[in-house]
Order: sequence, then C-alpha cells, then structure tokens
Amino acid sequence: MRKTFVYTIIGALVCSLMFTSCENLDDLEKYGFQPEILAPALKTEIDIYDFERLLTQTTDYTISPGDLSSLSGVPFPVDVPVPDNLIPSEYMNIFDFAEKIFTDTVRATISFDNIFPVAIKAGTRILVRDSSDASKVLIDHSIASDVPSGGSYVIPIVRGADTISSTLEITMTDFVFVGTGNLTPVNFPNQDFTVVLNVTLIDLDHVELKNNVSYEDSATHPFSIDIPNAADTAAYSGALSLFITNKYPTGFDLRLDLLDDNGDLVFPLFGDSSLFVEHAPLDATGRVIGQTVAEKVNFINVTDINNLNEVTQMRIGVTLKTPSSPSTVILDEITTIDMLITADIAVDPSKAN
Amino acid sequence: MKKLLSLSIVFSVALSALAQVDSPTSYSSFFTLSASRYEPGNLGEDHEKFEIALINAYAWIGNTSLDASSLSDFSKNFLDDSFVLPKTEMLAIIDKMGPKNRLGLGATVDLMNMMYKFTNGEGDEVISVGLGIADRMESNLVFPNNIFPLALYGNRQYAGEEIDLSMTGGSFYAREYTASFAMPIPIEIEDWTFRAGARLKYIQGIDAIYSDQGAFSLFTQEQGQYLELNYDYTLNSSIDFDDSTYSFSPFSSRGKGYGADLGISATFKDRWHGNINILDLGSVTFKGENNLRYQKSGTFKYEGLFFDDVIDESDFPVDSVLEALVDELTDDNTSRGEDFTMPYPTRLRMHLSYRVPRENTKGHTYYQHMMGVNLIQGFRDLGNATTRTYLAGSYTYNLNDVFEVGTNIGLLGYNKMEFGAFMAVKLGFFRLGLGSGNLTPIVRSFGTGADFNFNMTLAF
Repeated sequence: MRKTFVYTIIGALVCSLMFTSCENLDDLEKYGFQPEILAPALKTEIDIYDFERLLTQTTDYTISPGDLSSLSGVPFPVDVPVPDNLIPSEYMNIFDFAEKIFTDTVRATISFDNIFPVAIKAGTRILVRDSSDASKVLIDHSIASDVPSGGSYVIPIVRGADTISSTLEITMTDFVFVGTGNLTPVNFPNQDFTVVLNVTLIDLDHVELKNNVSYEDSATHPFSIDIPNAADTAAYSGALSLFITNKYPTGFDLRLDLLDDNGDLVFPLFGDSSLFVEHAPLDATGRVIGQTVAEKVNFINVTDINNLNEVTQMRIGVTLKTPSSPSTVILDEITTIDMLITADIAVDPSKAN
Repeated sequence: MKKLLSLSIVFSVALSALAQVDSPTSYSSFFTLSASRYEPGNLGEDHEKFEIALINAYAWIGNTSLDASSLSDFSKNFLDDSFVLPKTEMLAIIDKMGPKNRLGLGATVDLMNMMYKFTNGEGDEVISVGLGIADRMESNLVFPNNIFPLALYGNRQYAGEEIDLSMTGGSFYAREYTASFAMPIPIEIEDWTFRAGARLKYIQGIDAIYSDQGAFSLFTQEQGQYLELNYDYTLNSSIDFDDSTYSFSPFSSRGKGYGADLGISATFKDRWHGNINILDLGSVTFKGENNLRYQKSGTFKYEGLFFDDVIDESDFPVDSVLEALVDELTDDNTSRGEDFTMPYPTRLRMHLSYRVPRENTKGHTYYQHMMGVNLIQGFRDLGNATTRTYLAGSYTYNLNDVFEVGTNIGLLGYNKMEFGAFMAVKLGFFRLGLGSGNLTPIVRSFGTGADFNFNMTLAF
C-alpha cells in the first residue's frame, strides 16, 4: 500500500505539467488559446483481490542430530501467507492486525529427503496446526509407506474451508525408524533433517480484524521531478487535488514530504498536517457498507512544482488504524482504496518564455 | 398612402415573424422559367411561349449567429497568424451565438433550362413543359456555441455542467435533370384561377458528405473527478479520405436518386395570388466501394490515466484528456463500401402577394406593383433548408413591362435578418436580371450572409 501511494504521487507530479503541455506554446498563442482544464489526471486502486488468488508460504522444518532425543512433537512456527497489500506484511505479522482469516481452500505440499541411514517408517505423522491452539489441526498426514534411507517423500494435500487465527506450526509425531526402535544420536551423522512445507491459501474469503490496532511506518524513497518544457513553466498555473475513496474497514493517516539531498524538508505535500482518511462505514458485524471520501483540494500548485528542482527524496508516513468496533475485510474486487489526482490548470501562452 | 400602409403591413409582418435563403428571381415576373424552381406553378405564366435560360445562377452564404464584422474578426483569429482576438472580445463574439447555430452556403447553376407553352386554338395555355439541367452545390453545418469557448478556453468554465456539443451537417454536389410541367387547373369558380406545376428530377450525386446524427454532450464533474462524454454519431461520405488516388471530378457520379418539386397556386381577380409548394422532395443514394461511414455511439467516462505501477513502467502513458477522448470517439468507427441515402433539402414554401395588373402596349397583362410575403419551412437542416422558419416580404415595381426593380426583407432562416434588391430589364426577346436577396454585408455590423443572383434569358 505504501508503495502504491508513492507511485501515485510521483505519477501525478510528473504528469501534471505534461497534462496540458503542448509541443509548441507559440502555436497556442497564435490562435488565442488560453485553456483552463479541470479534469482527472491519474487514478489508481489499491486492490487486494488480484493478489489473493495464490498466496504461498514455504517453510523448512529443520532438526539437527542433537535434537533427535526429543524429536517427536517439536513444533516449528510457520507464517501464514497473506496478501502483501492487505497490511504491510513485510514489517509485521498478519495477526498483529487480524483476529481470524477465513479461507476456502488450503493446499499444501510436504516433502523431505531421508538423510538417515535407516528407513523412516510408515505411520510417521506430520501435523500443521494453529500455534495458539494445538487442538486446531489443519493438516494431519501419516506417511503411507516406508521412506528408505536416501529416498525422497512428496505428498500434496488439499483441505477445504478453514479458519486460521494465529501463526501455523508444523510438527512431526510418532517418528519411528524401521527396525531401530528408539533413536540415539550415535546412530546418525551430524546432518540436518529438513521437511519442506509449501502452504497455499486459495480463495481467501474474509479477514476479521482486531479492534483499535494501529501500525505506523515511515520510509524515504528517491524522488525527483523532471519538469517538462521548463522554458514555458511561467505559462502554467493551477493546482492538483487529491481524492481518496476508502472502501476498507480501516482508516489511515497519510503524510508526504519532499526532501533535498540532506534530508531537509523542502515541501510538505499536505502542509503541516497529515491527510486522515476515515474507515468506510461498517455494519454491526464489521462488514463494509459504504465508503468514505477524503480530499485535499489544491494540495500542490504548479508554481510549487516548478520550484521543486532540488527535491531528491520523498518521505512517506502511513499510520493504519483499525476501528474500535468489529471490522472485516471482504476479499473481493470492490474492496479497494481509490486514489485520484485531478488537475485544475490554466495555460496562458503569452506568458511563456 | 394606401400603398405605403400596405407596404408597412407587409414589412411589419415580416419583421415580427421568426427564417432559409430565397432567390430574388422568385420576386420577378420576367423569369418565370427560373422562378419555377421555387414555385413550380410559375412555369408558363409568362405570356411568351418559349423561354430558354442562357445563364441562371444563384449563390448564397449565411449564418444565424455572427454578423460580417464579428465573423471577420472571428475567422481572422484563426487564419491570420499576426492577429489574436483578446479573450474578452472573443467571448463577446461567442456570446452572440445561440445554443444552435447554422452555417450554410451553396450555389445553383443552370447548365440548360428551357420551356415551351402549348396552347389551344384560342391561344390559351393547355400545358407548359420544360427541360433543364442544373448543378447544385450546398453545404451546411448546425453547431452549438459551446464548442468554441470549450476549444479555446477549456472545460474549467463548465464545471458541474453538461454541455451540448451536437453537430450535424453535410455537403453535396448534385446534378439535376429536370422534366417539368405546369398547367391551369380546370376548376371554374368566378374570379378564381388555379394552376399546378411539378418538376420531376433525376439526380446524379457527384459527391456527398452527410451526417444527420451527431449527438455529443460533455459533463465535467464539479471537482474534475471525471468527464463523461455521451456520443451518437453517423457520418457518411462518398469520398474515401484515405484513398490517395481520389480526385474530384464533376463528370463522374457515385450516387443517383429522384426528386420532385410540386406546387399549386390560386389567383383571385388577378390581384391576389398565393401558392403552396413542396420543394426538393426525394433523396440520393450513394453506392460503391469508395463510401466511407463513421459511426459510433456510447458513453465514455474518463477518470484519469489508470496505472498500477508507474515507476516500473518504462513507457509511462503520458497522455492528454483530449487524446483519450478522441481515441474513444474514433477507434473502430469506420466501415467502407456501405450504401447510404442522403435526403434532399425538402422544404415548404408558401407565397402570398397582392399585385396591381396593367396592360402593356401589346395588350399583355403585367403587374406594375407586386407586394408579397414568403414563408419557407425546412423539414430538416440540410443544404438550403433549415428548420428555422424563414419569412420575407417583397415589393416589385414594373415599369411598362420593360424594367423591373424590387426589394425584399427577410428574417431568420440562414440569417438573422436580410434585405436585398434586384433589377431586371427586357429588351425584345432578351431579358437580363441581377440582384441580391441579401445585401446586409454592406452594413458590416448587421449582415450575417450574402447572396447573388444573375439571370440571362431569351423568351419569344
């Protein structure tokens, strides 16, 4: 989401002057054109729908020979795969925000290579379960046949609709080697044993969010403005406006600052304050039943854009806030945050240099 | 005093009505053959039995919006690189235009036109017949005034408004082969005489560009969040503009059709005369591979350039609203080789006049004074027809059936207002006439059009 904000603003600023620019302002002056244009310039949607089709998380269940004495039943955490733009998941766990994730299908592939000098016996169980509730097991798979020493094992597994409320964990139980009884480390070389779990959530349905959770993030990106027709910039006047239509159940604060090489503030795009966008209206169950619109009319004028040559960086700050009441993200194509930049720009060719 | 009063009434009626173009020929009694184009029953009304038009030409131009002075400044703004009209003056000119503006021009030239009157043993007319060939070139455009401020000064001024940008019009060049006749209607009512006339035409369509459907409207959301363009247009052309080998020739035709002018007239005591005419019935159908049709309809909601990832796109689609709208309007709109039919500029023409009969030295009746009113109502906006009613008054003075002079005043049609004058002379079998139904360009701040008529006829 943060990336999309940045792209939108950069695109808008680059396009704003191009929007009404002409190959040759002299041609306009010749005919007395003095166009004043009010029109949408750029639009984008932050849409999770396209990304939720195939969400894959791969993890390794790795044990070393030293663990063998307590091998059976040791859990290892597995992150739940979530849409990258549902929340900024690169910096936080989904369950910092989500109460529950409802999915229609869980598809997994479990594989391992038997590095041990003896076969792994059929009946050894591999479990994938909710880390906060060991009784909630998503996958309970028993190895169907012995896996000889040096052999490989791959099994695809498909589960129906499920609810996930915390990080997953993977564990193996009833771990028995053929003909050896209980294991001792002496019998094995010093080598890791790895189980690979590939989990794919298909057709996420909805996500129930926690109440009153906020997440704040700030980052700086390289950014500069290449002003077209620099010699004619005096001919342009007007401003850009930003309109955000929020169909998400979460509100957010947005702050955008343009910085110079030294990181000093050159221009705050939203002035001294941030732009707060209220969450969409919700029903009693937390489902979105409308939209909210936030606008920043004339958030930057063309003169300011023309004077921003020294800008080399953009700092963007986002604070995401869930409501104090139940809220649910419906994972469909209309659950979007729409962003629109409009241009209200006049061109007076007689003022061109 | 009585004549002055009559003239006042005629002109007052003309001025108070709401308007077409009209050739001065129809106000003259020396050129009944030429006038039969406008009043078919006129054919044979002259006392001579044979008439041939050596030259008969009428050219006109008119618009319903701008006087010659404003039009001059307006066009100079675009044609003269060294001249730019200040915005305030340009807006003042545009303000003079109404929501629906008409611009038209045309010319009709007789290549051949003749008639012969068949009479009975007593010299009374039985039927008059005529043959003619004429070339017609006419163009018209109906357009809204919004289009100019929008093009020059942008859409900002229309925030929150839907503006009409509808345009229709056409241009055609046709050659008419006409067989005409007129005759007295044998209805015997005391003091009344009746006539009927018809001109049947085979029409060669040389070329045409025609659009009878050109609905456009543009809505600018109050804050500029979207533009919505509604459009429904069809434009047919017999010219393939993409064909570089095309060259215009008046001797080749791509269309054909049939048409007719019909009229009846009634005269009371030889003083009161009225006629009703339906002119230019018919149509021309153009066939052939050269035909080009532009047709599209729909609604286009422009919400800005949409992008997912502007940075990662190496070819960022910097574009303008205008280009997006043009693309929307013109993509996949062309088909070739489609037949199309262009109607003719059908219109109703009614005439009422009071005339004072006299006898010339040969004992033939002529009319020393003729005062008349004309009403023309087009059924569509095309060529010389407009749906804007035209009403005109005229006065003609005839000196001994040798010299004629007249004047006319008209309202609306293709002009706001017009006045004109003509003169005609008979020298034996030779007749010469020239005039203009619209001399308003003489007064630049007043005139919105002009026309010119020239007749040279032999009659005996």
